[in-house]
Amino acid sequence: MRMSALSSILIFVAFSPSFGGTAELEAWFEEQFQANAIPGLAVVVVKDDRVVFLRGFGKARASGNTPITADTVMPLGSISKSFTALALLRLAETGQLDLDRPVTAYLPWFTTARKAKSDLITTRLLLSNTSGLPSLDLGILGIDLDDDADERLVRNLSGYMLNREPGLSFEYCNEGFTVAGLVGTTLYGKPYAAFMEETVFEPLGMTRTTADFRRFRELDSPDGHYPGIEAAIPAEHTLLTNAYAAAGMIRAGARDMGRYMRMLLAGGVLDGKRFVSEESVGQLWRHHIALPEREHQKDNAYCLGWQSNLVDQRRLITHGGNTSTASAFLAMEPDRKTGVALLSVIDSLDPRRFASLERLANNALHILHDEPLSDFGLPTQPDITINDYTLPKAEFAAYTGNYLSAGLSTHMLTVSRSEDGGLEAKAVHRGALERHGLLDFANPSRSWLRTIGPPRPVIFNRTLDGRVYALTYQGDTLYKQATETADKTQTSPDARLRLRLPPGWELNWTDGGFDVTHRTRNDLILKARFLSLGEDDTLEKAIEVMIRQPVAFRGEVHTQTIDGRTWRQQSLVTAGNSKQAALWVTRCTDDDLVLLLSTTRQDLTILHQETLFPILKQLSVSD
Amino acid sequence: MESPVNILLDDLRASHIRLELDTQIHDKNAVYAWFRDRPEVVSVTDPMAVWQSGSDVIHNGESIKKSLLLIERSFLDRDHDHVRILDADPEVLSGDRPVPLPGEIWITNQLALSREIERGDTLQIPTSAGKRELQVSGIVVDPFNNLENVTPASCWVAPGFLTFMAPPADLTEVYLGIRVAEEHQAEPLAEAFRTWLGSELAGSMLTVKILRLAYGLFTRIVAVALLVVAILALIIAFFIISATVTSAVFSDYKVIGILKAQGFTPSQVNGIYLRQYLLTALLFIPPGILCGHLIAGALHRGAMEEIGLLGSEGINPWFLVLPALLVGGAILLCAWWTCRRAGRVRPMEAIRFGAPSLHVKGIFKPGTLQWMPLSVFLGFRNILLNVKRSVFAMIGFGFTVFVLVFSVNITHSFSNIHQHAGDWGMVAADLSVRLSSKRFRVRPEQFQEAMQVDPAVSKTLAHGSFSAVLPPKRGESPQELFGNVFVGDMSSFGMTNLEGSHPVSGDEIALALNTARDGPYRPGDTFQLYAEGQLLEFRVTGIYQTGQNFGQGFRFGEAAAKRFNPNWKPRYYGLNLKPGLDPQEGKDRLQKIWGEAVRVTTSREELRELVDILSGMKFALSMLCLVLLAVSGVSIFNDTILSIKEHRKVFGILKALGATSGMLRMSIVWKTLSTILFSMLAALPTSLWLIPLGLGKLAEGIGMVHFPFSINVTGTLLIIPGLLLFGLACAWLPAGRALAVDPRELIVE
Repeated sequence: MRMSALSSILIFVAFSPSFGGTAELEAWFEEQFQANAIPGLAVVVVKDDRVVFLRGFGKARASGNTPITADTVMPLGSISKSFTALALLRLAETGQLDLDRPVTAYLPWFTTARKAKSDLITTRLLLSNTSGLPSLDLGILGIDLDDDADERLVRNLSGYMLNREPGLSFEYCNEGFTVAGLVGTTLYGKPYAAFMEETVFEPLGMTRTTADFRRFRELDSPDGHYPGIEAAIPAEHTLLTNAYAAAGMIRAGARDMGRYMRMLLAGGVLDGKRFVSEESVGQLWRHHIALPEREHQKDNAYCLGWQSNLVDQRRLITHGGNTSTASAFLAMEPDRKTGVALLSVIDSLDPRRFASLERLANNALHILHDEPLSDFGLPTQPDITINDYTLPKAEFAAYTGNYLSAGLSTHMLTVSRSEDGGLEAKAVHRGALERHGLLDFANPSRSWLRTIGPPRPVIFNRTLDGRVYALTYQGDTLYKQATETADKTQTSPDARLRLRLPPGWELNWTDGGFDVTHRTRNDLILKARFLSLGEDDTLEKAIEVMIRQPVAFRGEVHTQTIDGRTWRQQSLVTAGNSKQAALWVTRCTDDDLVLLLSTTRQDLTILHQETLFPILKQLSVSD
Repeated sequence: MESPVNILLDDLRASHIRLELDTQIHDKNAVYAWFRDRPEVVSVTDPMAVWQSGSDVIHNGESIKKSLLLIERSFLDRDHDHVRILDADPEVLSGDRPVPLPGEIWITNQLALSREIERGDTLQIPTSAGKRELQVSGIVVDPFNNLENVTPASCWVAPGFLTFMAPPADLTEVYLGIRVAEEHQAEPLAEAFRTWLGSELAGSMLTVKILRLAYGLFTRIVAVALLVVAILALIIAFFIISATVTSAVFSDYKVIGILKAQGFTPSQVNGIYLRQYLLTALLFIPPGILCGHLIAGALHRGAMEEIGLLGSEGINPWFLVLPALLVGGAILLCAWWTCRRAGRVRPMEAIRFGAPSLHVKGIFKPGTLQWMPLSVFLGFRNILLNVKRSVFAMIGFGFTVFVLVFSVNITHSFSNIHQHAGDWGMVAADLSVRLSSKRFRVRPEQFQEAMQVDPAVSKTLAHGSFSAVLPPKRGESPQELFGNVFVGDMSSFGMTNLEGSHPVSGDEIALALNTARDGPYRPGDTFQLYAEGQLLEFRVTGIYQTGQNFGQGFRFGEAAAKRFNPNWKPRYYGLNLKPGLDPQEGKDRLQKIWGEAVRVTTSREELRELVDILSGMKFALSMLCLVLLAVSGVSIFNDTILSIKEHRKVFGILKALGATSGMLRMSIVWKTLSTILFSMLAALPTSLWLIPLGLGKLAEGIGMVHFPFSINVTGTLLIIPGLLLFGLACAWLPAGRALAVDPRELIVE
């Protein structure tokens, strides 16, 4: 059959090496995905202001059937920082914001413990991680969806010292981006989600991109996975805190990321319309502070929400993102107007076994230019976890058991015998499995938790006589649980509440809640009620309803996440009888659960420890 | 000086064991019951809710660099752990309200003094939910928290108040204080508790043994210094009495002869002088006791205030009576001994010839020193005319020099501690770098390579810490031991050994002094260490001293650490900069290059805690120096008066021959200056040799036998002109009496 000249030309063009080989990319990504353990991956590649590759691979949830597509809304993690920086540069272009003015010009109340130093912090220093603010990650694992969560976090910084002189050196600091985001939202007059929607997403036509937590469900955004032994574990929980929205909570689809990269690579123009000036794009990518060299990476620097590196002798603008259940990577080569973004629904994997997102992105760019692939992203150092030690089976019993973290954290590591005759460990948080791996011992104390993710050390505190009482995992000490509690789980008549009571307490179900009393103490009360408190000032309303007395003294309002549920708490002293009381309020779907703990014996803290904490750790509420 | 510790432990009934535990891991009521039911336990405090802050507590815009343990104070009276309130609201002082109010905090006296915090000041305490401001409303003394090196510092807040200020989810710990019948029962009880617990303690436990160790060094140094001063003062008293009586006898020689010729017995004659001078002496003993009591009390109070205790509780009366009796008796003996000279006077010779002339014996004949100016010659001559008295005077000045040299150089030693960090068992480096484990990291090998080519760095020493357990011996319990691993040449960073050599190969280890002594272990012995689930043997190659961990610990090399953990890597680097480079600038530069991958401190910042010890001693040392100078001044004054009295005749003759009053005055002064100079020539080098030896002895308890004594050359040399000027001033005034000598009176027999 004779082909038309046009067809011939098209075929020639399609398969010509000078076009980078879209088919080659397709085949290569397919091959890489099959060899990897990523449950779901979305990829977009752009070149010369057009998308040359856009596809989803795998599933949104390993246990489900929903495929990942170009429009699946995936967590970006710290790639969000680049969006925050872009939004602020847009404000700067309008003249509302001067990146080099102190933050206090926009947030007059902003301070750290060393006010004279923190008064020198500018928005530019925040965006380049050189403000000197300490990297604390306060409450980053908690759940806080309130619109004022970012302001509360920034105000909390007033009690902390700077780690460094402002502008002197680099410290990656999520809090810094929260402060920067707050500058933007204060100037713009709207919360962060709306600020980003109206300043960036909507103008760029990124319809499947949002920082609004309430839209995640609506957009079917997957929460991600944790690494298991040989497969991914679907995550039950994910990072959800408005306090760090500007640092890492944006979610986007691959198609939208393609539009984002096209705009940046075109110097701020998208589809013929200027979004931001070329100068602003230049500012985003200008080296602000040098970073130490790493393997295969030279001339490293941090810019404004971006990193700049020399990789395989070409300059790349990159940023990674990780939310502990999802990871992402974006790399652009400005000189050749190419870029690639990879969004995955799993935490980072073991780079020795599976190609990392950095490696995939870098090689994708090489393929695009018909260049040889490189080993960038492949670890060059020997694998220190490899060993020839075997823990004697006779000693396994000393290690098995549940190991709990101190305090109110619900982290637990359960060590048990595995199917293959060894030992395995399951990391559980808030009742959900977060990691499941085999324990590979390098000596009687030190082991590696082997999953499809990077091996993590689990160090057992083993005594001279061979007993094991505790272990260290992820920097925390977990203590071996001596005995299981014998408390019964009690369920309310309407099945909304399930809880366990510590010994010595008695529970009475009431209409809309319960009362708890102690057998020997008459003065104290623990009451729980479901109330409709409305959206605003829930604590004040709860005080009115539950306390019904004037308040002589109030403590600070605290937002606490315990076992996945967010509570607002305040302690107070009532006038007259000087009773100490603590109110805990948590939002359910249609109403609020309010707990009131009170005592006349001035032992409110001890009562929290004895009564409330054990209940809160085991409380189950049906919304 | 030991009494305050005993006061703390007895009067304030301090807990012998302080326990903090997490209530979500341990059943606090079960723990309480266990201790309460033990036969050796006298009392257990009710569990008190506690919360520990970070160290960036802010006062007046500055971090106090100390974390606080906030304890909810109970209304209930406790059997022990009494907190003594020094400064608070009137209703608190009167006992009407035993607790702080919400929003208030009570702090220890030690914290208040060391950080200059006063009642009414505000502390900003960081919590994970923001800073909290508490007003200091009480200054108290707490038994366990009166030392800078006890961390965290206890503070007290209103009962139930912690949930008002800190996120409740952070409030899962309680404190229990346990008091036993006999102090020695505390350690075995702590061990029994660990065994009963059957699990790792989620919390911490501190016993009274640590408290005593921490107090020991300071009190020993001050106590010894006080004793030295006391002995010196007594010697000078003997000297003064001896010189005065002798001088009086010589003056009254003829009169004594006449009395004896008239039938006075020797004992009667002795009695004249004994009564005269003993009475005078005894009259001044009570004021002396009073002054001594005041000075000792001031020293005691000053020293104890530094560690947060209100000074003396009132010195035991026996501590006044006994010294008085002893001193009185000693003086009586000295006076009696000296007065015997009067009894030995021969009447006929005395009447005929008067007192024997003082003459210079030996090589210093008058003619040999004719080249000297007259004043100087007379000064030397006066020294040699009464060698015994001169020697006494020199000894007295020698002690003064000793204490001055000690004060100047101990201050210098602590101020420059970073230059002798090796002697304290630490890496003597300009900068200390810790590799962090944040997002942007650097591999140890990469950092090491970079430092080797860094233009500002001359030397690098990689090191790290290592925790291990010493296997038990003879029924004792295993002991936790903290050691250090070094990669490279330790010697080049000031680290030395008292015996033996540094460990090099994988089976070699060096032990800290007290670890070696406890064994005992000597170089060449086998030493077992348990870590990482393995019990391994090493050969002891050396013994070193260290001021850390009370002289307990070990050192070995990378190969040894890798026997336990093949993947062990250093995380710390000591860096020495090239000459002339400023450490602070070096720190800034490294931080700029490496960012969050490193934390850098200068050696001064690293050793700040040790330097702060000095502040506790400064007041005591200053008082000592003043006392000694006062004693020396009195001695000079007295000696000057006596000299004039003894040499009146000679002065009269010289004046008649044309010597000016000024020359005669200067001769007295030259005598004093010469005495001081000779004294310093002997005392200075002796002090510089003795002081390090003495300090080594004192610091042995914490594992330091060679105290890193750093000599302040300028300061030490300035003692010479300083003391000479002092002597000049003390001698000049009384020497003016020489001007009043009338030749005509003197020459007449």
